[in-house]
Amino acid sequence: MMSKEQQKLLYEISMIDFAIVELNEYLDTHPYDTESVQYIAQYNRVKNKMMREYASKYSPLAVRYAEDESEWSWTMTPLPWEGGCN
Amino acid sequence: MKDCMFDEKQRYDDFPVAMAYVPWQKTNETYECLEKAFEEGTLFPILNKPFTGRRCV
Repeated sequence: MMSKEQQKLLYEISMIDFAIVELNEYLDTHPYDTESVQYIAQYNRVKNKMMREYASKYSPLAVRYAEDESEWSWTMTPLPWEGGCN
Repeated sequence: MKDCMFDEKQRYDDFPVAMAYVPWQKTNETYECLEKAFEEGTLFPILNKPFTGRRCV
């Protein structure tokens, strides 16, 4: 079962990821909108930081964030359909 | 905002019939609070058109 702190971080990652997807769709049709280009770049940096934090504190949400040294935690933590997200 | 791909001067009457056209999104204004955007389902207030089962609000 997830701790409150872990749930909070996961929720924050979901929020920022959603904003990135929204900006991505907007930029696909407005590629010259510099303000939005800087906006998404900033969010990407923040998201990557949060993903690395989540991986180091709990487990990687994506394999590219895995930083294990002894065992491969990717397969040992519950998957979403195993209740890994709530 | 540098003009996007859609050419405003193109007159709608020149468009072929029976085709759907979506007006261009002209504003990049976003919700300040990301949690609000996440709950509303859009980052852009202008796109926030909740379907309430009857007329759109």
